[in-house]
Amino acid sequence: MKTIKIVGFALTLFSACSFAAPALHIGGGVNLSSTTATDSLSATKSPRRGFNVALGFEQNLSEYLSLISGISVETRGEKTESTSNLGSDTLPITRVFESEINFLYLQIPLLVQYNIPFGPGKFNVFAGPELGIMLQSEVRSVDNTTIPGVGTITTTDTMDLALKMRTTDGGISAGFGYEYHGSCTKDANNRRRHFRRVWI
Amino acid sequence: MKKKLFVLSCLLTVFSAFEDFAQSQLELVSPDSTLRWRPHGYGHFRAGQVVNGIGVVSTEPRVSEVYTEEAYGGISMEILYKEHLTMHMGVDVKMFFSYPQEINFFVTKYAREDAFLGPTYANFLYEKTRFGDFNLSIGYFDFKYNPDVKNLGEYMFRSATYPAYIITYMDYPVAKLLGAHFRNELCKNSIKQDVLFTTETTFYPTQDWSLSYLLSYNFRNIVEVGAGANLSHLLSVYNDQFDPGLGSLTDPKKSGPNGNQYIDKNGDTLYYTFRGNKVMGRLSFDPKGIIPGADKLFGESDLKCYAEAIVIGTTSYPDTRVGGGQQYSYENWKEKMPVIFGVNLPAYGILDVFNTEFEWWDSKYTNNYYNVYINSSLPNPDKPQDSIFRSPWKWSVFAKKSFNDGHFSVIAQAARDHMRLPSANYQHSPTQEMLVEAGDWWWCFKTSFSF
Repeated sequence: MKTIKIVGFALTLFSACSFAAPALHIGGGVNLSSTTATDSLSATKSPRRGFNVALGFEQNLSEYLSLISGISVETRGEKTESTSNLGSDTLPITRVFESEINFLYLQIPLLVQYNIPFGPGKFNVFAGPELGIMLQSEVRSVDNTTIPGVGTITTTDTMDLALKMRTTDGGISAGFGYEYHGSCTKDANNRRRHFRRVWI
Repeated sequence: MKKKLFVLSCLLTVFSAFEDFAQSQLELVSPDSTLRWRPHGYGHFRAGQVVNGIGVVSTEPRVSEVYTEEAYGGISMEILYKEHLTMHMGVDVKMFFSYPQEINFFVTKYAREDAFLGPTYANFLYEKTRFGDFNLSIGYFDFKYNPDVKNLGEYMFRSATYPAYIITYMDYPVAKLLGAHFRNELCKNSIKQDVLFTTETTFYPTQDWSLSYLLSYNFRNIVEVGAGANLSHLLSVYNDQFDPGLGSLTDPKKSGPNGNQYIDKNGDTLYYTFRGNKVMGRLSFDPKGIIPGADKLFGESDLKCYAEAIVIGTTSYPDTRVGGGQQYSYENWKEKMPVIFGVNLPAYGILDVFNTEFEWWDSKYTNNYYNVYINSSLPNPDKPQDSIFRSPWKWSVFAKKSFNDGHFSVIAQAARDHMRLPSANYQHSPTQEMLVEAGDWWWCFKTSFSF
């Protein structure tokens, strides 16, 4: 069975919460992701830029430890590009094949977070299991074949990968960040957070 | 004079009830206190979209971005006579939009309303007797045996045997049953047993009577186990005279390629039947009961995990297709056994419920009752379609938040469940569930309000 691993890096741009404990987080951000597969074609791969929108719930278990659950919608995938010469020296035919894999996932993480007070906020490190539900999965490809004297012939194709994918997937989510408890509003309980996160 | 006093009493009670509406139940009491009248109301508005799914017309095998709406209202009354008898009567109305909208069928092009019977039953309650609490309901009532299920599961009364098919409805994991329900609760309500003698209202052949027994044990709200059996279509109300020589509706005897014959291990030719037995088991675990201080950290429903498995038809008929026939069957019971597991994720009281459920049901047949309702009226599943790649997995993510002491709620759900969209052209109502393949799913939002 073909196995696709998705490795990514996400930067959540903002997150706001309205309550001290428990806390509601609403966030959004960008991510970069790529896939590795056992039968990958030889092509130049580049990470695909995606986005995430998240809703989270945090409860402090102790001064340093908190438990986070939530849900997020995330796009993932990768871009590949391959160039091949199909013709001869007298008639060089160049084929540039570009494809983009697009995944849309519903992610449900359950994270344990360790908080280290520092300055006006706290550093935190978190990790935990994450359940993924595949919502959409497709490959878009563009084939540009250039023939001297004829021009460039472009063909596009879209293929649904959903039938070849597992509906649900598990993974580990881990990361670190800094939580700023500033006086951005009058309410001292309101916080702004910036954190990075990686998933495997 | 008595009549005047009764009216005055009613008016006074209404005013006093409205005064503290949010805290108490609206109630009218007769002067002699033998009758207590409590009105109830419920309504919701729902909107959503099938992002990807199976189409229901041959020209559209796959569909995407099908928008759907629904509005619903119901009024019911509860009348308590003295201390043991309570009567419930209700009427519900649903407004819906058809799918598909048909060019030559104008009623599919605008909103339609269906009015139907709400819970209407009499209930006798005898509490704290020597043998526990006794409860008897007779009429048309809601029944839910698995309190944890939010979407997937609760299939003992939401499924039909032969062919095995399931119905679900968003934010309503409850069965509506017509008949009698007897409940006995023992040991401070930790043991519950239910006996139900019900007549079929949804699954063909309707009006047949089924007998069910369910038993559950709750250990300190930490662990709950339950099991049940259902003898479906046990008593048929149909005789052979309906279609002379071809059996009854419950036990049809049609031969030939389009008949319902099969050959058993002894070489005898027998007939598939709608009669079937269901066996269900369930387990629920709430770790908050063993975590000190968990009640303060977590919401009431948080962390609870549960599972349910049901065999929808314990008998497996061989798939012999006598005479080169088109009537298929199940070769083993695993094809009729959905397994459901779910967990309430921590929402710490910010949400009432934040739930996810999964279902595994490995069958080569799609969840379709076309063959029963439209094609042949025989107890066989539809022929598997080569163009449909059925995924054995279903999933559901459900969140609910209530406001105003529970009178108003907002609900969100994303799922690949057993959803079907309605049509005013009932003959063309989707018999096949829409979310079949991997990648099929829908989302919806709902607001509900009740008093």
